[in-house]
Amino acid sequence: MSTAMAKTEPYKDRIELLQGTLDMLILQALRWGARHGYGISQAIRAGSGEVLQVETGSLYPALHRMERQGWIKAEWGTTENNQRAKYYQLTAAGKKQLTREHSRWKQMAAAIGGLMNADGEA
Amino acid sequence: MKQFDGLFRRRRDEDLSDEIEAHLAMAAHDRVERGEGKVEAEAAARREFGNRALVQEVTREMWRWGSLERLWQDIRFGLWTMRRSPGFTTVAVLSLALGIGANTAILTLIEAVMSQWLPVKDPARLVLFYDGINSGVYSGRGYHSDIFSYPFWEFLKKSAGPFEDVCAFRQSNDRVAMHLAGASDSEPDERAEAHLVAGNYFRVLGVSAAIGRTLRLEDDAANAVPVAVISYRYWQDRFHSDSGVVGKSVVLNGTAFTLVGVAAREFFGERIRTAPDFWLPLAFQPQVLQRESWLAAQDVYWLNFMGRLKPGDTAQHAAAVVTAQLQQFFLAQAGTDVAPSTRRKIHEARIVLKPGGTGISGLRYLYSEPLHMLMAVVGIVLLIACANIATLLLARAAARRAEFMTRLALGAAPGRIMRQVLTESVLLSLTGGLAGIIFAWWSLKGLVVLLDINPVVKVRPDPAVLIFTLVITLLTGLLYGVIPAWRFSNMEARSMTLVRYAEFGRSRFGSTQALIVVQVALSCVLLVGAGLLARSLLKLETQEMGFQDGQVLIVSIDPQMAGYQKNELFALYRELNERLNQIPGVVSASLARYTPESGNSSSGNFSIEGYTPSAGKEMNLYSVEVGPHFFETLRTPLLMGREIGERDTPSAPLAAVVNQKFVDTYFPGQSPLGKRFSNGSPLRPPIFEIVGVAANERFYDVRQQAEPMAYLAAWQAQGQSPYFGDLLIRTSADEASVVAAVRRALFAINKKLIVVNFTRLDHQVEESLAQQKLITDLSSVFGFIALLLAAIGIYGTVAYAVSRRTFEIGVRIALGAQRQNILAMILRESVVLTLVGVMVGLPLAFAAARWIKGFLFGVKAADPLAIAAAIVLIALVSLLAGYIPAARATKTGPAFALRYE
Repeated sequence: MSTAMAKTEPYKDRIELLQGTLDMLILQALRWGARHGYGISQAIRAGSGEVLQVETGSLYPALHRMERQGWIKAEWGTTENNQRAKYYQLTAAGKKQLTREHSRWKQMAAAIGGLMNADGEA
Repeated sequence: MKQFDGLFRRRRDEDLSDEIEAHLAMAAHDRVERGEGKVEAEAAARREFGNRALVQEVTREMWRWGSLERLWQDIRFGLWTMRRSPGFTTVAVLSLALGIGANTAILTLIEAVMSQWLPVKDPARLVLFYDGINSGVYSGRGYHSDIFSYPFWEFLKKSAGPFEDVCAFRQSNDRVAMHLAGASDSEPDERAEAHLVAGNYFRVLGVSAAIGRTLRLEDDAANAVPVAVISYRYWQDRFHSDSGVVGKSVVLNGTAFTLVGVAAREFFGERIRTAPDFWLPLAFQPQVLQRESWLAAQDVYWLNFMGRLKPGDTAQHAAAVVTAQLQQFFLAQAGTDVAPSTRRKIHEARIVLKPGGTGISGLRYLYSEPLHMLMAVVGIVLLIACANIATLLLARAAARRAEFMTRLALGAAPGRIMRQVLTESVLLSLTGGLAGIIFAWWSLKGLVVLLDINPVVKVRPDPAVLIFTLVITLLTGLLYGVIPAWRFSNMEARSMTLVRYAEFGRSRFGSTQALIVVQVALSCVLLVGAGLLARSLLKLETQEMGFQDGQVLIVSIDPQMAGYQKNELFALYRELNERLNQIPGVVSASLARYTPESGNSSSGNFSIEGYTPSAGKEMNLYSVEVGPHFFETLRTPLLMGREIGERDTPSAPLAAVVNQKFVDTYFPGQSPLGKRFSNGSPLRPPIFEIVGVAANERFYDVRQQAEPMAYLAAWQAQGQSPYFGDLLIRTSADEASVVAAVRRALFAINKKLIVVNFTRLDHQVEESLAQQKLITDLSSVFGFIALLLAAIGIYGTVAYAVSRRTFEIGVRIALGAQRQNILAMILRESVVLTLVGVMVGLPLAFAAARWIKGFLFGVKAADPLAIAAAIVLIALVSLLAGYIPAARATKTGPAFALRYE
């Protein structure tokens, strides 16, 4: 792990989302069906109004890790343009994880929002 | 390592490559759709993607979660962790090596001594006979007497009954005078050991000959040609491995035997002892023993049996059948007119069969207790080592907290961290186990010498023991790894990142503290035990023996072997007395049937003229035959009357000297001189008259108080065997010159009178304490090792506590606290823990002391000196172990301490 961490170090300052949050966004992107890696990054980008751009250096490790964790599963398929691509889709565990992450996110957002608003009023 | 990883990676590497390729193609395709040129689009897609190699590398890291890879990664990381803290690793591996090594060594020894098979065919089917009365004697675990007569052997020989085969043998070896046929008469006879066995002895054991043949049933007949088989060892030593030895003739006690073969190299007999020189057929008992024939005697019991069970048969079933045979035999012997009481006795006679494949062993009896005690001791040492390493691992938690927190924060599952910490522990213990096995083989060599274990017992790596070692190694790894693993994996990742530990005040009583208490308590047990044993040994060594063992030689001869008849013995003894006492440098010389602490004893019930014992009291008397000058030679004080002297000839009244204990027991406050006693009850000839009283001697066992004892006149010997061979010689000159002079004197009396054995009385006394001394030494060594481990544990804990409290200490010093106060504050913990440990350990020590009571002499289990010594030692060592890091802490300047935090 430690050696792995050492190697990821150059990327550290570019990861702007908390890890759990990126996971949640990926799961969210897969909610309506299977997508390939490129499709996921495009979906997050479009869905956030071009604000969030997921780096491939974060996306692919996250996908492979989540596959290991059993939240998503992968299958090779073909795009409408006849391009062979690896499609990811949610598993039952992934759906549960998404629900969990989502509610946690809502709590945190509310808490941080509350803090920020309180500070603003002071 | 790269190759190992490669096995798993290659396929997925291609897969990942394809995936990224697809990503780039799709990104480029989108750009082309938006109107970019094909080449520019592809370049832009690649640029947007970033460093492809790095992305691949980072993604690959995620694969490490595969179980095999994960294990490999854990191992690699564990090794790295071990290298990173060499001090901790060294201490841990050393204490483990010691703990595991000592356990392996002792267990190997127990395995070898207690349950090693004889080097014979299918030993599991061999059974030994015993009579069901001398309980345990045939279990192969004790000494025993011969219990069957030759006629019963003949009866059994005719029908092996439930056995595939059964054979008889005499239990002891017999000493014979040997010379090669044709050797010149002027050469003195050599002494050799012969074992009388039935003709089918080798067949039953399934032992073949290395050269020639073994004995056959037809060799074992009264009219057969005398033949002998020699042992491989004797063949090498005496015949220099001469391949033409078969057919040669040797004269044993005057009878010529033809050598027919050399037994298999590894074979030493049915008893765990050095192989005899000769195996001779039972039928030659009269010639070999030079006694009346026992071959037809119904009432001379001199044989043992060993049977080979039929495949699938049980010892129990065979015993039932052979018991019926025995009873049938007795009934046939008793004749037609059998008294009801005799009939009942016959029906009570039974044979019990015990496993015989491991042979008969005195070692087992001798070493069973000490080896099991040592096993317990080394087991405790291993426990302490475990507790010690767990303590150190916990102390390291401070150093590794950041590491584990980071990993938890990065999403590592608690279970995974636990697994990793356990992998590290097991790795550590495997390293320790490996070192332990090396340590075990190395120390076994020494132990075999120290314990004086007969080389026929092969002390060697045993698969069962190695498996045991592996199991305890893994178990210890889990044992000391589980607490730290549990601790680490339960760290609250998020709270840790936000709140930094700033611990103030006394630390709580946690697992670290409990582990220290365990170590101190167990050390306390070992140290008290070692103290008790040391005190016992000291008492044994310094006690009043009743004789002075310095400067006394014991020279053994064998008049029977030299061919003396019973009626020639008095003349021989008188001549020995004269000649030996004239040798320059000899202060005085005497003769005895056996000598103090030789392991021999003789006792029986007796009666005193005009003395009626109180009802139910058995009158038991130890006795030994001695020559003139006996007490003078041993310097045993004579309290009354005279000692056995030259006037006590066969024609004089039978004289006896008794010891003080005899007088105290039977004639308290009176003079026993002139009183008469005899062996057996009631009083019957021969009757001995008491002519003197000697001080009590510890004659039979240095551990035992003197019992009533009588010293009878050797020249008047009344027993069945009047052959005595131990000459006791007190010297004032150099040993070698006296021994040479003794040899010359013996040769002058009779050239066949050779020295068969030679030792010193003080060595003999020392030897009788050898086992006690060894146990004491080993327990002291293990006691100190335990203490050392506990000290390391305390040192580690205090050092850790200090490192956690550096900030606090800095603040206190900055605020003007005295260094002494700081020191006391830090030391308080180790003092409290030591006290608690001692309080837990003492009751355990008492319990353990009761268990080793058999090894204690002259001290009580609750011996205040041993306990006080243990406590003082523990207190000193733990104070020192705590003081070093504490003193270091108080020396740090406040500024440094504050910066540190």
